[in-house]
Amino acid sequence: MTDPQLTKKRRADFFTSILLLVLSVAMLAETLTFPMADSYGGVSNVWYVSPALFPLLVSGLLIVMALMLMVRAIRDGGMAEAIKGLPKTGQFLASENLHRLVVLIGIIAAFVYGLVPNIDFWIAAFAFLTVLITPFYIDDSRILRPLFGPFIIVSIIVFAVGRDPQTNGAILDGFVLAAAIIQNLIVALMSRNNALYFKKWRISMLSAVVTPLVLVPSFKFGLLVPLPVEGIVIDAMANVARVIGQLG
Amino acid sequence: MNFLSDFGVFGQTILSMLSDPLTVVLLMGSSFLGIVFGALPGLTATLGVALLTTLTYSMNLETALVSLISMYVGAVYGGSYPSILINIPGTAAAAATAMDGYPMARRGEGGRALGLTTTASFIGTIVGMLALVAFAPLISDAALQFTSYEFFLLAFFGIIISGTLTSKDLVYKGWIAGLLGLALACIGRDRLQFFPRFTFDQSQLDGGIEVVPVLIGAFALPQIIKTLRDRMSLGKPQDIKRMLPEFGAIVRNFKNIVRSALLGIGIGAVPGVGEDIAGWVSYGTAKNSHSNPENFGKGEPAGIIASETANNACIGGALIPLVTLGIPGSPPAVMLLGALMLHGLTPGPMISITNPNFLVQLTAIMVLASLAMWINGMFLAKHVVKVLRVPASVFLPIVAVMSVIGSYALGLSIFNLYLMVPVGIVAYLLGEMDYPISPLVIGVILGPMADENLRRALMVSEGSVAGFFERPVAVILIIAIVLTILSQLPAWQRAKGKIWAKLARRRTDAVEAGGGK
Repeated sequence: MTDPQLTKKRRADFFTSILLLVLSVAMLAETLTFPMADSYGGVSNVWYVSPALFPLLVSGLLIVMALMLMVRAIRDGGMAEAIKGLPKTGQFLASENLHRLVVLIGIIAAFVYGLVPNIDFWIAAFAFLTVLITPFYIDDSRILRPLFGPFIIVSIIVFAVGRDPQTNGAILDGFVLAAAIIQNLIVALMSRNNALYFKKWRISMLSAVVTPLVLVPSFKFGLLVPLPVEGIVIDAMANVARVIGQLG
Repeated sequence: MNFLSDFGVFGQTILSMLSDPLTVVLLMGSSFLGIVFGALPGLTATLGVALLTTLTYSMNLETALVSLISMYVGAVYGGSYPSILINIPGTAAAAATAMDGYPMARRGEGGRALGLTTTASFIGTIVGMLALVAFAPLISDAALQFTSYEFFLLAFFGIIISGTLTSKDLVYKGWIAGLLGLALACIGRDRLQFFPRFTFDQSQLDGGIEVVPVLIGAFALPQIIKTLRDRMSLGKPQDIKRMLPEFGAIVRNFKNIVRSALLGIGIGAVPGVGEDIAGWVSYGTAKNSHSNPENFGKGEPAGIIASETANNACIGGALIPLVTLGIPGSPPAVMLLGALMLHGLTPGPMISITNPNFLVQLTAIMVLASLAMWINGMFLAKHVVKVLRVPASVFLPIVAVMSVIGSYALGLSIFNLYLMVPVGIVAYLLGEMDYPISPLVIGVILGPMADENLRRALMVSEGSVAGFFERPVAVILIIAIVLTILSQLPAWQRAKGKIWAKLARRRTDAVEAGGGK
């Protein structure tokens, strides 16, 4: 009689409720270190003006809600399902849906934490779009292989090395740019015998080149917002803009 | 006199905007962009307003508002295109439109369906605006009497009601989402004593978390991840043929339109409950009160009119609590509030004193935005359809880059980006488990207000909670909160079920007794 979809949801709820409980108890514990009725910064305190009051209320309510969620999850068979499912964790980890999710989150995180703070924004966006558009547009897991792994590795290297504008800025920019170009060439080679794939690669590549080519100047010259990192490409754009300005 | 001077400001605003070619271009352009955003499945009105917020940051307030409101109105309307032409709603708001829009398009009446949507959306927006003009000053005046007690309860009520109504699964999932938002809002130095809370010695967290990157993360990333993960591919759009405004059908549906618009406004005014729910409720009501309900789902124009009038009327409704109380009525209005705050304008009861012309200006902008939407819709529909050929796997990554640079541009802080990603991932996971996201973002926005006012209220009464029960509005709010929570308790629902069953039995008994005579 039980709906498998519902049990699955309650299983997730069971895990969430544990996590929520841990988080809200941690929040409560941290809140208890706030000044309550003693003085802070020379101001003598009373309980109702204490900065702890609101977080206490929120964490208290969160604990109640987490417990309610847990009770419901146990009653609907979520805990039983969770315990029963533990041996099958491997199967869950191997599911394709999870893989795609991990790949997507990995690409976005690598871009934001690795490339954006360290690499010329045009190059970072070009590399990111190459990896995020091409495999999902062509939709063939073989295409993903030369793109995802290397992108993550390149981002980790960049993250670990860190940009120093005086010394390694241009080298890092060149490194990421070269990697992205090589990745594009590999995809082009892999899809050369398939007209549809080749067409899709061309569209992906063009989007990856043109998008930052439009966005970067609109922000830098239109909205006068500097980009997170301006390296070899954006400096070149600024030079071009200067020359055009002088001509005009 | 007051009315006359307001009307003068209204006319002046419209004239001054129309006389500036740049504003006109911006109006038409944002409206068109809004339609495109609404039309592309995976992009929503909220996301459109979010991305545009970053682009309009450097403009003056009025110009930015023109752009943002046109985007909002256009996007809510634009969602109907793919609903009608490929049976995939462009935004959740237009989901109900697909029920009858697609069958009509299959019959070769796609142009007629789009004409109906365009005019219905236009009327919906205008009626919503009228409601805004009529009710906002009244609520504003009443809200000027509010003190800390009411503001704390109002913020709390907003989160509870939004959690209750938007939760698809267990109701307390909505409340949990709201509480998580409030917990996020606690981060940073507290407003009264500047004590650092949950900052973990990170100076970037001292000022609290930035609202706009959180909003972009919570709305954009889940959408991007979900759409790319599910490999959404679109079918071939149906033909449009000729498109007319369909005034005849509109006149015949007068009652339907009035009802749908009122429903839309009412639903829009409830915090966090937005266009999507308005569309469905109005569709359901129209079906139940129609003379031929069996035609619904088979291409009945009244169905399209109901959902499209309601979802656009919702905009005006959602702006009522936003302007008067500083509480956003729908997810795109949350974003709009974020944008207004960036421009140094904090909506709330004080706005009628600090910016007396704001409401009138907003009204004028809404009129222009709905006109722009109608003109764009009538003349450019065929071109918008071409956009539907762009695959989601190409434009969503582009949106990802825009979200990243947008979050960064507000405040030029990379730290905002570091914040945006985890928020987006958590929002995605919560969404997968059927937690609604709007209570969370409303919590983030209303958290500081709730916190500060709770403590101010208790300061006034020197720690006594009795103050909450001594003011009429506060008592009403407390009753509303208690009833909302009680109504969700299983015991209450069982009791309600029993009472209904008893009543129904009595009625059948009575009927049977009557029939036996």
